[in-house]
Amino acid sequence: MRRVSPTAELAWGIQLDDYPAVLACAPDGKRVAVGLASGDIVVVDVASGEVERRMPGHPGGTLALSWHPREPLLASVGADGAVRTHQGSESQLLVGPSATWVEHAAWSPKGKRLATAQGPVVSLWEPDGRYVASSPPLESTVAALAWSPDGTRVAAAAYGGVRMIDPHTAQVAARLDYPGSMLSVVWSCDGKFVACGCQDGTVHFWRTASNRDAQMSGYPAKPAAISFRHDGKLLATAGAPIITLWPFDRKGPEGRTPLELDGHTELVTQLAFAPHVDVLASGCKGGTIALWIPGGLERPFSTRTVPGRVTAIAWSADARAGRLSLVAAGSAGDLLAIGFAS
Amino acid sequence: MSSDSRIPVTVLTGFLGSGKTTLLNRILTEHHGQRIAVIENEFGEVGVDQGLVISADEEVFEMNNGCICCTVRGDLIRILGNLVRRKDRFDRVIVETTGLANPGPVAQTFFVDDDVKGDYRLDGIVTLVDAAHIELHLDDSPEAGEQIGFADVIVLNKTDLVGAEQLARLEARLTTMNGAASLRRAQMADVSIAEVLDIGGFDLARSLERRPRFLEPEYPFEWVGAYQLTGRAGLVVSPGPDPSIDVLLAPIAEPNRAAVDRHAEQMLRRFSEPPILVAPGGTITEGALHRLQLVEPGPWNFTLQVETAGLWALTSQHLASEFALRVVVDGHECPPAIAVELVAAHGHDETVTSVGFELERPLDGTRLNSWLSTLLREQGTDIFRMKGILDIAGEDRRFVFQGVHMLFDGRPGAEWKKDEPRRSQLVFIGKNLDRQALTRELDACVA
Repeated sequence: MRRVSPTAELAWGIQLDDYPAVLACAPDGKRVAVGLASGDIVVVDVASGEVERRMPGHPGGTLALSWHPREPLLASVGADGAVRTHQGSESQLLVGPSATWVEHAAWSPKGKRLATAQGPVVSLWEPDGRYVASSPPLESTVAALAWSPDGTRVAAAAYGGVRMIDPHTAQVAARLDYPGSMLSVVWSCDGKFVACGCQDGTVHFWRTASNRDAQMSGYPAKPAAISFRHDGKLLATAGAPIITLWPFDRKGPEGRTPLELDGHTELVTQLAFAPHVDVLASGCKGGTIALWIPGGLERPFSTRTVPGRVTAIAWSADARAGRLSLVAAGSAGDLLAIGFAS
Repeated sequence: MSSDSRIPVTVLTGFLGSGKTTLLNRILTEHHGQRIAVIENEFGEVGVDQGLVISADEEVFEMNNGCICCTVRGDLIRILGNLVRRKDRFDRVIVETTGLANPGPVAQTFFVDDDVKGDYRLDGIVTLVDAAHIELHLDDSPEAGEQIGFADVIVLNKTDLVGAEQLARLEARLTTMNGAASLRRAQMADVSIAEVLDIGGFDLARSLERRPRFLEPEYPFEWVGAYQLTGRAGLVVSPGPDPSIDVLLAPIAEPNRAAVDRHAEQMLRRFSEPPILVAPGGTITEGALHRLQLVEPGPWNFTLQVETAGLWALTSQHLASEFALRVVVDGHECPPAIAVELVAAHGHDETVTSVGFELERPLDGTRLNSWLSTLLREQGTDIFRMKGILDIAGEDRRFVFQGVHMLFDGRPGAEWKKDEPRRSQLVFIGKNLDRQALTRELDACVA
């Protein structure tokens, strides 16, 4: 592994005067969208920290945001039971409002489809806002959505396992069963693994080729936060103040010793591996944001603290400007960016 | 009164038509100055403009390990997690369940889920009961019993629709099922708000604040028999469940139940004195505790010896029936003038009941701890709620605890005052509770 001597500096910090519930960084690295508990959506320039726009999003709370991978098009969903897209100052209502919260939204890797989840139903939309199809109701309210890297499936996590939804028909194409409540779902970059953090204190994963499953258990708290490294060879899991990393290279994590990162004093609730570099960001209930190089350094090479708890973190990569930043939000309304260089 | 800044949550349960919606509306209109969020079930019909009403599907999530105490309400976790983010924080949340809901998973959500536990505290479970229909429901749906058993407050509603006699019978039945809950009569759910909110049903500091109504004295003996004796008599003991039995012979005033109860109170202290060991063939004299050693193959013969002729009570550690105890005078069996079993006659009961104990003898902390862990492991599924204030030998402070199924929460409480009688109180509410077995097991924990 290439030896890195990373540095991280606070680029800016602003106060949003509301609880930042969700973050989404635009793929071009220029903007970050913040969904607030009040429902407003704030778009912030990542380089300067200036608020570009504040728009009314979803009264009762914006619950998920997703940027289109190629266009400056932002999808948002929320407690008002609506799905919206936003381009510049123009907003489009795709469906709603209604009594049932829409809690998840995710564009497919190439941006051909938007998947949203309302209660136990997954719906699909065209980039222009046209409705495509809806799945039959799954076993419970959908807890998380994640597109496969090749865009041929959207994984919906729910009680009872993961359901693979077909992006054209919205029908359930495959079922990955596990008798428990899934809280999150992530894919490895090669699409070979799907992993979920579960309510019962386990991390469950499947090999997609065979649907063969296994799990890691013993987490003191529910390990909802999980993240694969960009190369898919390491899975970071929370569920404790200590971050546990499982090797997914070679034959997988079975029978192997995980790596542990000990630095937070409270429960880690946010984990995000950076795109392209071997850096992990974490956030905990105590308000600490930490940056790590798993396997390289045992201690975080940078930490920041926000008042309250860390509510969301997201990486922003501006390839043209050669800038990589971590954007993080705290429950007292703080939003900050940490510039990263190696 | 406490520094707990978590948001209090009240759970409203009760069958369809019991008056949940009426009570909910009453709380929302009368409880001015508080921001209340209502999480109502999918069939909820609250039409109110105060507060925020969120409709929820009751998503009961069981865990792969099959442990009933890990079963939670997934919808509540999500909704409560989102609510806590709001800047205009709520002062209180009310969760209304569907008529057929088991309150267990709702209650457990507040103890099992890390996020919910950190931000909310379960204040109490309020169960509404339709006086006119509950007996019917109790007879044919387990959920009705569960809702009664889990309750901190039972609102006996629509009392105007039934006669006084039926009401009295119903109250007696509900008290047998859950003697730890407070029972309120109501018409149109007209209970005072203070009786249903801020009741601290799961607050250890307020555990058994109100004395349960069914606590029975708990004796270290199970049977008293009174005999007319002169001089010497024979006592025949057959093999029973123990290799020894403690007995005490003492005069008793009259052969009736009241006299036996008074006698039992007097025997309490004597039963805590060290026993005199008696081998088969030995003599039992008046006034002292004797331990009959049942070592060789039985039956065994002992002699009862009294100084004066009169009515004498034989108090026995175990039921006379368990050892086929017989008193023989001049070769003839002498029937007791009265015999009283001091443990509840019935064994375990399939329906919901509450079993309560009150002891004035300190308990051994180690044995108690081991008993409670075994009990919860083996019978936690059937135990809905339990609460207790315990006098542990050698401790200056009370030990207070409460639990829901296998979830146990306990810690040292207030110090015993110098002049205050030290006494333990324990309450179990659930189904299939075997009072006799619980009595015996608790007895074994006496220090």
